[in-house]
Amino acid sequence: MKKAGLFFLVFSLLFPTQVFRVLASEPDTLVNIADVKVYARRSLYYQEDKKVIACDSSLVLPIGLEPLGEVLQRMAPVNLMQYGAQGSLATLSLRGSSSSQTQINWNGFPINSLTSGIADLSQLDAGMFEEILLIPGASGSLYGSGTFGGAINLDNRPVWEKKILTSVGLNGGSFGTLGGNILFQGGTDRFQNKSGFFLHNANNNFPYRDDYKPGDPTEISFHNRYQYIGFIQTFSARLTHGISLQTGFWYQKKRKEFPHVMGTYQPNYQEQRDSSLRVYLILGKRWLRSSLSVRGAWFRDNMWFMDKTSANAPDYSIDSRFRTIRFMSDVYFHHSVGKYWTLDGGFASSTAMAMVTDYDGTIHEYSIDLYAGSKYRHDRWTGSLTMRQNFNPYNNPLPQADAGIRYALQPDRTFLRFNVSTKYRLPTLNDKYWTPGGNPDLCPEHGWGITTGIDHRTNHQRDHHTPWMFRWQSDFFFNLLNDQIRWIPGQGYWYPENMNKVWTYGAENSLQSTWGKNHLTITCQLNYNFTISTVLEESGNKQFHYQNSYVPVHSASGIFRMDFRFLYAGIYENFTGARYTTPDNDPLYKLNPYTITDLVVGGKKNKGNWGMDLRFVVKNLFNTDYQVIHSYPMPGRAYYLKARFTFETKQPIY
Amino acid sequence: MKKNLLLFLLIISTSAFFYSCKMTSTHPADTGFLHGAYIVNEGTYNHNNGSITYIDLDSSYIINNIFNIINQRPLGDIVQSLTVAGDKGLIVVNHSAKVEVVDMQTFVSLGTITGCNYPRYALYLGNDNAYLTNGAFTGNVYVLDLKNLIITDSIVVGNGPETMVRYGDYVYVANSGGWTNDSTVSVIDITRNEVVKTIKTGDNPVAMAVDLDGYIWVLCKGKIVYDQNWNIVSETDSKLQKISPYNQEVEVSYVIGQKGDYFNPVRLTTDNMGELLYFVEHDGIYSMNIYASEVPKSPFISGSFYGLGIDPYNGLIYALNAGDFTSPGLLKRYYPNGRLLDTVSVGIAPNGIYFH
Repeated sequence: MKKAGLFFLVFSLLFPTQVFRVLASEPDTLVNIADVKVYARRSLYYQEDKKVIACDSSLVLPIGLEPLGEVLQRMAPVNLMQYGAQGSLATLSLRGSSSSQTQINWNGFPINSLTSGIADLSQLDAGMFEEILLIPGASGSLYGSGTFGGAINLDNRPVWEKKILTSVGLNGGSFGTLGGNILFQGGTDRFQNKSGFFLHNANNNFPYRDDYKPGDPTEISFHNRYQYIGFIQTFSARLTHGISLQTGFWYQKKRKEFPHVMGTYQPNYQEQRDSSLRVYLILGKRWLRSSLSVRGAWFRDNMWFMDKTSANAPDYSIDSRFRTIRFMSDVYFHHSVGKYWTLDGGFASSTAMAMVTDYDGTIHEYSIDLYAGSKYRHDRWTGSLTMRQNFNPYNNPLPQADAGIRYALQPDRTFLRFNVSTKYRLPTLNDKYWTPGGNPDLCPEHGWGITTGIDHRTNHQRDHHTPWMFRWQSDFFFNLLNDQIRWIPGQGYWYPENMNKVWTYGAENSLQSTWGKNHLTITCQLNYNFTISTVLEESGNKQFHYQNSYVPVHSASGIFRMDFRFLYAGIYENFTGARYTTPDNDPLYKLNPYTITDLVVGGKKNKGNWGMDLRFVVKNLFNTDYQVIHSYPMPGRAYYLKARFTFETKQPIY
Repeated sequence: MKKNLLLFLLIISTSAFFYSCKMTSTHPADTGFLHGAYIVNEGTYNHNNGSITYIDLDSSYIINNIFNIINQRPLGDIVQSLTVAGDKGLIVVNHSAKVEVVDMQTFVSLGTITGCNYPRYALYLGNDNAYLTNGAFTGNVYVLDLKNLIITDSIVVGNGPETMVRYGDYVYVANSGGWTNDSTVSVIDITRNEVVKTIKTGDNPVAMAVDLDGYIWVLCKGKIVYDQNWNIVSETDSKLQKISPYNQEVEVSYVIGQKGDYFNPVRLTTDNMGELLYFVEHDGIYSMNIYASEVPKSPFISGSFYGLGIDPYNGLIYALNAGDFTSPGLLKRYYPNGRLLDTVSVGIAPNGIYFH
C-alpha cells in the first residue's frame, strides 16, 4: 500500500431496509407491486447526479442483428472508431478520451481486454442484451479502472412474466451479409431463462473509390471476410426468504480477415481469430432494510493474430497468440438508515493470468478493491458520496471519490445535477510486460472530472390527454488526466512512459420529442456534442494545444420515426465533424466531416401467439464516401432485409 | 596539409555565410525542384501519410509534402527511398508496393510502377534502366524500364535486399535479411543482369557507401537471437566492413556499437570527398576516416538519429530525428565540424536525404 488513506465505512447491520426500483434515466422511485421487488445495480443507484443514456429499443431501430457500436451511435453522438466494414475492430470513446478509457461491463463485470485495455464492439450483437446504458463520465469510485470517458453497461435483465417467447431473426443483404439469431425466453414470475444463439457472416467485398491512387479508381475491397458465432445463456431465480440468483454463460468466436489500406497495390494476408468464454454468478439476499450481494465471474479470452507474405506461403510471418484468464468476485452490502439515508460498502477482488507470445513468461496479477458509499434523499434533494481504493502489489492508484447532487427544480419535470469525481486507469498488461519495452513500474493514469447538467421533461407517460412528450438534456463536462501512458521510440524498440497531461471539456445536448394520437406516433431525437481534447503538456518538452487525433470537435445525430398501426419508417442521421489524424493537426491529413443517413421501413403484425416484424434497411442512403480511420475505406450504400418471427405465450402480470 | 586546412576553413566560412539565413517555408520560385535536398519521410504504418520534403539549396526554402501538394493525392504508406534517375525521380513506397515516378523539375507524377510486393531501394543504371530491391524474405532485384514504367526482369539475390551501390559494371546488393537473417552481399554484373558472386559479410548487411578509392564499405547491423519466451539467447556484433572492388572480398572488418544496446545501425554515408565515413549508432553520429585503423569510441555528434546525409556541395551534415514516429520529425543541419547550424520540422519518420 503506497498511497495514504484507507477509506472504509463500517458495515451497518441490523437496520431496516428500503427497497428501490431504479430506471436507467428516471428518478428514483419506490415501487411496490405485490411481492415484486427489484434491486438496482449499485453503480446505477448512484447515477442520479450524472447523465445516463438508455437504449430505447423501440426507437433505436433496427436493433438486434446489429453491431453494438452502430446502435450506440444512434443513441448518442459517441465517437465510434471503426477500422473498416462489418466485423472490423470497433472501439468507442466518450468525451474526447481514448478507447481504453471507456469501461464496458457485462452484468457488472468489465469485458475490456486485459492486454490492450479496449473492448471490440464488433463482437457484440445488440440483441444479446435487455438493457444497454451509456454513462459518460462514470467515476472511478463506482466502476474502478478505466472510466475517464465513461462506462457502458450491457445487462441481461429478467422479465418476470409467465411466458414463453421464441424468436428467430434473419438478416441478409449487400456484400455477402447473412446472419441470424434464435432466442428462447421462458419462465414464471420466479424463474426465468433466456438463451440466444447468434451468427453473422459478411464478405465485405464492397466497392470504394481509392483516391490514393492516380485517377481515383474504383476498387473492390478484398480479403475482408468476417464470421461470428455466439451463444448467450442467462438464468434468474427469485427464491424464498428473499434470496435471488442470476447466472450467465457467454461464448463467442470471431474470425476476421484484414484488407489492405487504400493506395496499396499488394494484397494483405493478415487475419485475426478471437474467442471468449464468460461465466458469472450473482447471489442476493434481502432483508427489510438491508441487502447482500455476492458476485463472481470467470472470463477467458483468446486472440490469435497471423500474417503471411503470400497466400501460398507455408508459414506465418507473424504468429502472435494471446490468452488471458481472470476471476473476479465482489461482496456488497447495502443498508437503509432511517428515512433518508442509505449506506453501503463492499470489497472486490480480481485475479488475472496472461499467456502471450510477446511476454516474458506467464503473467499473474491480482488486486483488491474496498469501496463504500452513502446516499441522501429528501424532498427535492438527492446527494451521494462514494469512495474506493484499489490495492495491488505493483503501483496503487490514488484513493477515488465521487460526490454529486441532484435537485428537482420542478418535481417530475426539471432536474439539475452536479458531480465531481476522480478517475484512474491501471497500466495494461501490454504496457507492463510487452517484450521488449514493457515497463512494470508504470504509474496508473489519474485525474478528475466535473460534470453538470439539466434534464427537463414533460409528461413522461403518453396518454390520450397528453399526446405530446418532450425531453431536453444538456450537460457540460471538464476532465483532467495526468500521467497519460504513451509509447515512444527508444534505442531499438518502443517503450511506454507516463508522459502527458490531457484535458478535455465540452457539452452534450439532446432533445427528444414524441407525439401520438389515434394510431399515429411521431418521434424525433436530436443529439449534439462539442468536445475539445488536447494534450496540455509533455514531460520535459514544450506544450501542445492541438486537438487529439480522431476526436471530432463537433458531432451530432438525429432520428425521425413514424409509427402508424403496423407500419413504421425511420430516418437515422449521424454527423461526424472533421478529425485530425496527426498530433500536430496537419491539415493535409485531416479527415473530412461526413454525414451518414440510414433509412428503415417496415411493418409488424401479431396474430394470436404469432408475430412477425419485417423491415427493409438502406444504410448510407446517399452513398457517402468517408473514412473513419485514415486510409481505411468504408462501404457505400448497402441494402438489407431483416425479419423476426416470434411465438409467445403469455399470462398477464398480476 | 596546411593548404588543405586553409581550403577547408574557406569552405566552412563560405558555407556558414551562405547558410546563415534560416530555412523558410515560402512559395517556391519558378525554377522548379531540380536542385535541392529531398527528405524521405516514411510516415506512420497503415496511415498513408508518407511524404517528401523538398529543400531548395539555392534559396533555402523548404516545402513539406511536396508530392501531395503538386499531385493532389497522398504519396502512400511507408515511403522508403528516393532515387534520381536522369530527369526522373523514383520514389519507392514500401507498404503501398509501388514506385512513384515523378518529373524532377515539376514533381508531377509520370506514372506508377507496380508488380513488386516489398520494394525498398532503387539504383539508376542509365539509359532509362534501373534496379529495384524487393522482398521481406527471399529477395529479388527487379530490372525497371523507366520509359514504359514496367518491370522487365528479376534477379534472385539474398534475403531482404536493401541498398545498392555501383562500381564500374558491378552493382553490390546488401542482403539485410529483411524479416529473417542473411550475411551476404550479392554482386550483379549489369551487362548480364546476373549475380556473379556472393560475398560473405557480417550479419545482416544493410547500408553501403563507396569511398574515394573505390572500396565498398558495408554496415552490418548484427542480429539478436531470441528463445521462444523472447529472452536473448545470443547476439552478434554490428560491423563496418570494407570490400575490395578488385577481388570482391572483405579486406577489413571493424566491430561497432556494443552488445545489449538493442540498436541496429542502418545508416552509412560518406562525405563529398569520399574520405570520411559517417554512420549512425545508438548514441549519435560517428565519423571515421577511411584510412583509420580503428573505429572511434565516441560519437562525432551526440543524439538520437534515424537518417543521415551529407551535402555534396558544401559538406553540411543533415541529421534526421524521427521523434515518436507519429509526429513530424526534425532535420538538424550541422557544419562539418559538428556545430549545429539549424533545426527545422519535416515529415513523419524521416529516414533519408538525397541531393540533386
